[in-house]
Amino acid sequence: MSTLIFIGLAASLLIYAAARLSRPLGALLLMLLSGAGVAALILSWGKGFTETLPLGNGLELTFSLSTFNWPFLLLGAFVLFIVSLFAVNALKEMEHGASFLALLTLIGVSVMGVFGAYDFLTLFIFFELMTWTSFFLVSMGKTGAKKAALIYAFMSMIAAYLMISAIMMIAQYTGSFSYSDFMGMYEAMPSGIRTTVVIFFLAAALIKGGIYPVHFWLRSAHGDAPHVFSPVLSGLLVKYGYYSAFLFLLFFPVMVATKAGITQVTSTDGPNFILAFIGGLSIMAGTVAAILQSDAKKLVAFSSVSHGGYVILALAYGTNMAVAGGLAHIWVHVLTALGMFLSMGAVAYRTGTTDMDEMGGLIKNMPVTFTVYLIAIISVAGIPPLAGFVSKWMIIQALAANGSYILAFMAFFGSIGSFMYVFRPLATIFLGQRPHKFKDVREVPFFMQLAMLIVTLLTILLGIMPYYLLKPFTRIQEFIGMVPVKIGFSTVYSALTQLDMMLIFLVFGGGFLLALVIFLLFSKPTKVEQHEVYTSGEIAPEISTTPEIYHFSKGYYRSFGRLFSRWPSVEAWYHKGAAYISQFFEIIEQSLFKQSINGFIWLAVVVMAVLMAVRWF
Amino acid sequence: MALIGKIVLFIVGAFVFQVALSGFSRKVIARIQKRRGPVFWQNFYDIGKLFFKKTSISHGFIFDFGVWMAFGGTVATLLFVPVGPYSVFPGQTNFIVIIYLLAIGSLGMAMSAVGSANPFASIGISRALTQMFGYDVPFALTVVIMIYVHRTSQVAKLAAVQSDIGWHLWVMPLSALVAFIALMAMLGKKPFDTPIAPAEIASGPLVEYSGKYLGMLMVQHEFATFVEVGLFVNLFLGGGSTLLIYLVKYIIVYLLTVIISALMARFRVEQTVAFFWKWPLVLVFIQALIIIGIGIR
Repeated sequence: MSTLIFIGLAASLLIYAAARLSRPLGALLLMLLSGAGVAALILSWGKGFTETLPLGNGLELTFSLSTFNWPFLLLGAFVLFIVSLFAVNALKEMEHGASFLALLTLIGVSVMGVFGAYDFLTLFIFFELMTWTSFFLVSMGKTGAKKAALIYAFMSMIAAYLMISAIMMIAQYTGSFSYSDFMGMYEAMPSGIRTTVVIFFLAAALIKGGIYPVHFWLRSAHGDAPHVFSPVLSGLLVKYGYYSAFLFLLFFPVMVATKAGITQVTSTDGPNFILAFIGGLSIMAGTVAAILQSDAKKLVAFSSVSHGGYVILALAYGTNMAVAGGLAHIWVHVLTALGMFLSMGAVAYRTGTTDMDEMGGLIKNMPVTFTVYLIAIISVAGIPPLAGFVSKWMIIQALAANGSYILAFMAFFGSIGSFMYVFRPLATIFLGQRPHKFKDVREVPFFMQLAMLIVTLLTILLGIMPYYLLKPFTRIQEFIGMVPVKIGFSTVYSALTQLDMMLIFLVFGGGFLLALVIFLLFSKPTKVEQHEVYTSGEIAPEISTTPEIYHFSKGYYRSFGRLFSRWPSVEAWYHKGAAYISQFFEIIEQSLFKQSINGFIWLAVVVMAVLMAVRWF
Repeated sequence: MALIGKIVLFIVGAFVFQVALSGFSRKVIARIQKRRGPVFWQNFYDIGKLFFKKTSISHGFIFDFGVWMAFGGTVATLLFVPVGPYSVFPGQTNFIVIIYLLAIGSLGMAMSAVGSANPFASIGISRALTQMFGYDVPFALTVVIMIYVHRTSQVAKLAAVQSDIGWHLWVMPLSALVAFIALMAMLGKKPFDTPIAPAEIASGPLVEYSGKYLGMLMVQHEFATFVEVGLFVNLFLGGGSTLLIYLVKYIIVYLLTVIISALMARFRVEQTVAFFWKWPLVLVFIQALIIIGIGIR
C-alpha cells in the first residue's frame, strides 16, 4: 500500500499536468485510477496484509488491509470514482479546475492512509493531509466559501489537537503507536488515562463526522463548497469521523468484551448511552434544521447531520443488530449523499443556483437528474424497497428489541421528518411552476448522467439484495468476535421478525403494474400547459399563474417553522461566544498592536522567554 | 395459483367492503346533520362514473406516474396487513414495513399533486407532510412498546397474542387513545383535515384531478383507509378470530372516527403538530413507564 501512496502522490502531479492540457483528460485519469482501486479492492475480497514504511529515526508507518477496513477503503475509491466521472463534464467552467483535480487525487491518497492505517501516527498524518487538501478544495467554491473554509479549518484544528493529544497519551503509555499494542494494553491502562483518551478521540471523531452540537461547519462547508466537491465532503470526508468513532468506540471496547466472553455490548453502559443520546440529538436537530433550509445544498448538509446521528447512535448502542445496521447505514448514506449532492450539483451546473425558492418545474428539462434525485430521496426517507430502508429497519429493530423508547423516538423522529425535508427540493426544484428564465435549460452532459445513474442503480440493487450490502459488515462482526446478524440473499433476520426485500419489491412492482393496466384501460387524457390550472375562479394576480409570479412554494414549511421560532439555537450561542472572544482580543489588539511595532517585539520577547524557560527547566 | 387467488380476493374484498362502508358513513354524517344523505352504494356510482368519463386532464408525465405509484404502493401495503385470521404472506406482516410502504403511496400522490403545478395542491401537500410528522411519531412509539413487550414486530402475532392477555385497548389504554387520535389524523378526518380543507384551499392535493385520475385516487384512498383502520383493529382490538368479528370491529372503529369527525372544527397545521407533540407524546411515554414498571398484566 505504501507503493500505492507514492503512486498516488505522483499521480496527483501527473493529473495536474494533464488537466492543464485538458480538464476532461485529467478527470478521466483520476477516474481510471480510482476505478482501478475499486476493482482491485473487489478482487481482494477476503484477502489481507500488513506492511510497514520506515521513516527513519525509529518511526514507521504501518498499513493494513483486512476485513475490518475493506468496506471503508472501497467506499473511498468508489466515491472518488463517481465524482471524477461527474467531473469530466462538470469542471469545464471552474476557475482552478486543474488544481482541483490534483487536490482530489490527494484526497484519494488520504483515503488509503486513514482507512488503511494500522497505527495511530499514520492515521493522524493522513487525517491532516485530508484536512488541508479539503480546506483548499472548499475555498474554491462560491462567494461564502472562503469563510466556510476558515470555519472548517478551525474546527478541524480543534479535532486535530484533541486527536494528537489522545495519540500522544497512548504513545506515552504503551510506547508505540500501533493499534495492536494499544489493544493489548487497553485493559491494563489506568482508567483515568483510558477515559481521557477515549473522550478526546471520540470528540475529534464527532467534530469530523459533523455531529450535533459540533455540526455547524457542515452547513457552510457543504453548502458553499464547489458543487463537485460537496459530494466528496458528505459522501467521504465525514465518513472519516464515523470510521474513527467506530474504531474507538466499538473496536477496543468490543475486543475487551469479547475477551471476557461477552458476545454483545449494550447501551446499558453509561458512556455508550450518552453517546447514543448525542447521536439521537443529532438526528433531531439535523432533521428540524434541514426542514427549515431554503438552500438545497444546505438542506442536504443538515440531512448529513441527521444521518451521522443514526450512525453514531447505532454504533454506540452496540448490539449486533444495531452495529450491522449502523455500518450499513454508512454505505447507504454514501449512496444517498452522492445521489442528492450530484443531482443538486447537476441542477446548479445548468441553472447556476441552489436556492430552491428561485426554481421550479425543471423535470421537463432534466428528467434524468429528477429520477436520480427521486431514487436517492426514497432511500434517504427509508422507504422500501430501497437500500435506505434496510439499515433504518435494522437500527429500529435493535432499539425496539431492547425497549429503548427514547432512542426509538429519536430514530422515528428523524425518519418521518426526513419525508418533509427530502420532498421540498423535489417539489420546489423539479415540480411546480417553471419560471420563464429556465425554459431553455438542458439536461446535463453524458458523463454526469452516467455517474448519477450508477449511484441510482446501486441504491436499487443493494435494496433488493441486501446480502451484498450487509455481507462485508457481518464479516466485520465475525472478525471482531461479535455474533453476526443472520442474513440471506434478500432477507434479514432479527430477533423480532424477518424482512424479505425481494418480496416487497415484487409486490410493489405488481401493484404498480396493476395501476398501469387500470390506467391504460380507460380513455386517454388531454394534456394541458402549466398555466392552465384551477384557481377557484380567482384571477387576482397573486393566485393566477403568470410567468412572473410562478412560485407558490416559497417558505414551503413556514407554518412548521413557526413552531420553532422561539427555540434556542446552538449556532446562535456560538456566534455570541465568538463575538465575546473577538471583543476580548480586540482589547489586546488595541493595547499591543495598533500603536506601534513595539507591541510585536514585546510579545515576541515574552514568547521567547517562555519557550526558553520551558526548555531549560 | 392459490396465492394469486388470495391476492385478488384481498384486493376485491377490501374494495367492495370499504367503498360500501364509506358510502354508508356518508349517510351517518347526513343523519348527524339532519339530512337524508345518499344511498350507501353511491360511492360505487361515483367511482364508476369517474373511470368512464370521456375527458380527463393530464399535467405531464409525473402527474400520471405519481398516480400509478400511489395506487401501486397502497395496493402493495394492503397485501401485508392481516385481515382477521387471513394474511396473504404469512410471516411477513411486519409493522415497520407496513407503515413505510404506506409512505410510498403518499409520496407518489404528493409528487403527482405537486407535479400539477397548482398552488393549492402544493400548499396541501406541504400541510399533509407536516401533519404526518406530527402524528406518525407518537403512533410508531405506541407500537414500539408492544413490539418490546411481546418480542415480535409481526402484526399478525401482535393481534393473536391479545387473545391471551386481553385487548391492548384495556392493557395499554393510553396507547390506544393516542393511536386512535393518530388514526383520525391518518384518515384526514376533522379536526385534522388541514391538508384537504375544502373551503380554504379547494381540496388541496386533489384540486387538479378529474376523470380516471380522481377515480384511481379515490380507490387508493379507500385502500389506505382499509390499511390504517385495519392496523388499529389488529394492534389494539385483537384482530379477529373469524372474518366477521374482524369486520364488525372494523366497522365500529371506522364509524366512530366518522362520527367524531362530524362534530369537530379544524386545527391549523402547526397546531396539529404542536398538539401531537404535546399530549399524545407525553401519554405514550407515561404508558411506556407504566409498562416498564408493572409489566404486562
